[in-house]
Amino acid sequence: MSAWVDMKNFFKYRGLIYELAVRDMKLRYRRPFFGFLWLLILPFCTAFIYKVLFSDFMHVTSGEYPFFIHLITAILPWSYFSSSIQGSVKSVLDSRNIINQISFPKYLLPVSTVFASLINFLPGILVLLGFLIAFHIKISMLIFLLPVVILIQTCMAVGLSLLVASLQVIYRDVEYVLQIVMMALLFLTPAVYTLEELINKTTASFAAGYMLNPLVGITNLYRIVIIGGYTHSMPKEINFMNTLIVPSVFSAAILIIGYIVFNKYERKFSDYINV
Amino acid sequence: MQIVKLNNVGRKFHKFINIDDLSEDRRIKGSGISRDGAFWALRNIYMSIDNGEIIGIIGRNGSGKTTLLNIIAGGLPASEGEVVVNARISALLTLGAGFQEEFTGRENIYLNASLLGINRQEIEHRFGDIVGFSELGDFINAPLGSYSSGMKMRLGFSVAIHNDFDILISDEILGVGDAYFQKKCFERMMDFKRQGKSMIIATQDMATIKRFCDRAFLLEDGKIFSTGSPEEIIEQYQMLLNKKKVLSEGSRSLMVTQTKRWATDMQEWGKREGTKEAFIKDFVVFDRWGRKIDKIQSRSKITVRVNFSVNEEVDNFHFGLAIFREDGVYCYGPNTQIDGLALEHMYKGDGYFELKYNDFLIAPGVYYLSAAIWDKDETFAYDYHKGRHKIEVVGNSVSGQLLNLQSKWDNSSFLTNPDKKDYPALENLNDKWETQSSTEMAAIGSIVCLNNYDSQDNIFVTGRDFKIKANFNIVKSSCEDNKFFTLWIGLYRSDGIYCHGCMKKITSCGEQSEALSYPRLRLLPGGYRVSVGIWDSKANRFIAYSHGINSFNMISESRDYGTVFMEHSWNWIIPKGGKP
Repeated sequence: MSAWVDMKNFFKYRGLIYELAVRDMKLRYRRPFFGFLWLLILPFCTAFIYKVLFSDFMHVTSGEYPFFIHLITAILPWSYFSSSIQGSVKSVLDSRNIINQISFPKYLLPVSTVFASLINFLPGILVLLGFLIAFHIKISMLIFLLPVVILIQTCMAVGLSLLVASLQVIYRDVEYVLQIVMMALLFLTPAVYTLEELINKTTASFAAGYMLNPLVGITNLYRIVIIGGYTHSMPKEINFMNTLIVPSVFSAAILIIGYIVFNKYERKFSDYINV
Repeated sequence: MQIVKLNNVGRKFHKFINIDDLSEDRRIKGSGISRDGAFWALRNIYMSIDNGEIIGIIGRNGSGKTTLLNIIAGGLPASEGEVVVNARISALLTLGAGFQEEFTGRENIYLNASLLGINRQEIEHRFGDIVGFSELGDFINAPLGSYSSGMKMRLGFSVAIHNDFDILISDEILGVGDAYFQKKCFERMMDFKRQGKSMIIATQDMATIKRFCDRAFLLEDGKIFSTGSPEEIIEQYQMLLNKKKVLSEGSRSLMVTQTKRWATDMQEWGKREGTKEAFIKDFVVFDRWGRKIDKIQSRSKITVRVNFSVNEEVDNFHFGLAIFREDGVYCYGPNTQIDGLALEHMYKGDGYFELKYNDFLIAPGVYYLSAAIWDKDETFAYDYHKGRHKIEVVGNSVSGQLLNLQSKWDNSSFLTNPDKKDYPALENLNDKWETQSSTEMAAIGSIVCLNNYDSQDNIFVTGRDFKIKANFNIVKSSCEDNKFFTLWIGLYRSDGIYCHGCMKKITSCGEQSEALSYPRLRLLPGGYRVSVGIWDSKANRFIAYSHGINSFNMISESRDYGTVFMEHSWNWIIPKGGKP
């Protein structure tokens, strides 16, 4: 019943999501000289630093693609994911001046943060495609499935954002725990190294467990869809199950859990928000 | 048409979050101060607002005005009770709620309007009007941080009134504007009044209340102190303000000091009277799970439903339901008028009203219910059942008591509870009212009553903490060979009705004192007496007692009938008309 009301509200307040997302972006990028360009500069610079560090100095191999391309196909979605969640964690707390006074669906606060990150993410994809052309890399035929992959990742981001934003109001340690978890997660996905290397250097059971991480599945999906990664020599560990089903089911589940937890704690916000 | 209805609404806030984790027990134990981290900013609020009414809310700082407005506006959830709002609300609660300092006025208009649920085309459509009314001119493109507070207020007010609304809620905002802008706002508000829109205005400016409002509420200490015409309420507020503390001697004259304590018509019990436009059919009692019950468990949550039929349409009525003990002692009799509920029109048909008690404080015994549907001023009844419904209350309790109150001995464990066989026989005191005695074995010393600040007093407010401290001396020689005594403290009404008592096993001797706490003592206004006795169960006699000598008075902010206040809420289904 209440879920149905929330759905109707979502439609009614869609303008608000947009306004809040725009507020987020403007607050971040209005004053700097490079403005919105920072959206693009940051992930590409991160990828460049990793390239210099891991490829040029440490000679980590990158399989069939240039190391930079290997990195950026993972770093870009990752920065979308991590900025969504790390931005959302304080979204409710930072809006304490409106929480108690205006009646609006509070879940829109984290949702709009994810939406703002999504707006950041999309131009990055275009620049990435430009890089692919510059590096003479064939763009995969599966690229038309990209929106589906983005949808799966967005559901996951929204679910986790709802979860951490509501928990943060009551347990203020969440943001710090989250920083650690996000850092660990980055190195638990095949972003800076290749999946093949991990499989070769670890035991079979570890690799099988590693593959169950939904973020590994998402990273693989992005590579498959954008640059046709793994299509020539698919490691046997990658299968339909852990690449598509696990991330999809996890996204759906975390979305529902996030929604339920947020609803449960929403009534307590007014008690905790100002202390 | 009723557009806002608050039914027994309360809002609890937490002073310290960490205290939350402590169990209920720990909180009560930790002496008188801040028994728990929670306090009620609002409690027992009944309010109903009709379409087109302009309501004024006045009260001192911290009386709960803003909390009340936030709850009506829907921003703040209520901790208990029911809030029904059938209207679009536009609220102007804090200067620039939802405004972003870094943004320009223009951007803030879009942001704020979308928070209020207006879509973009609508905002664009009204943008000119909003800016025009706010008279910000070119400043609309300057960041809000550079605005004066008057400019922010103008912008906020302008956005709020350009929203489609049925009720405008405003909280002490207008004071910031200059005289010219205030005049303009008032003109606009008069327009709204003529258009039949409702408003709820909280302000310290009595002239505004007097000029605009149809009705005013005075809040004090999170409760509705009174409601009525603006002039009347303003006068009461001035009186209240003149007293430094609510409980200073003078302002006690504002409080209710007496209630009805006896049934006045016992000889007519079982009969009914009334003009019979509406008539009561029967009573049903439900337990907390909604099951019909015959016997009521003391201290449980119950609902009494009274079914009735309406023969002819009735205006301005109210419901009442009272409980009497079989000897005519008035236990409790709230009605919807005392509770500030507006009931206006009933069509022909069947309906019922319900009174839900959160905690039925009546001790086991046989009681009678009276129910009535009254006219507005309680001058005549449409139907009045006098003590027609007999109910039986069951449960564990010492016999003879009227009430089953929550109480606790300070610094004691449950081990000191005496066995039933060691209970004093109170019949021994029957003819000893207002006397005391001591023997060579023991003597009662001073008996003092302490208020919620732990200071001695003899006037207490209904619903606040109360403590009795008794000093006594048991002579050393009398407590040899594992002997023990039973200490008994009883509360009596000044007319000698035994309300509640507590027992404790005393094993040590010498000079000592014991304290009995009543958290939120709910006795209704009037005079009460305290009795203390030390009982020797072996000898079957009181070795010392003081019976009904110490007295104290209860006062309350609201009028009520009976002996004990029981938290309750009303609920009803009244015939709505349409096709018969």
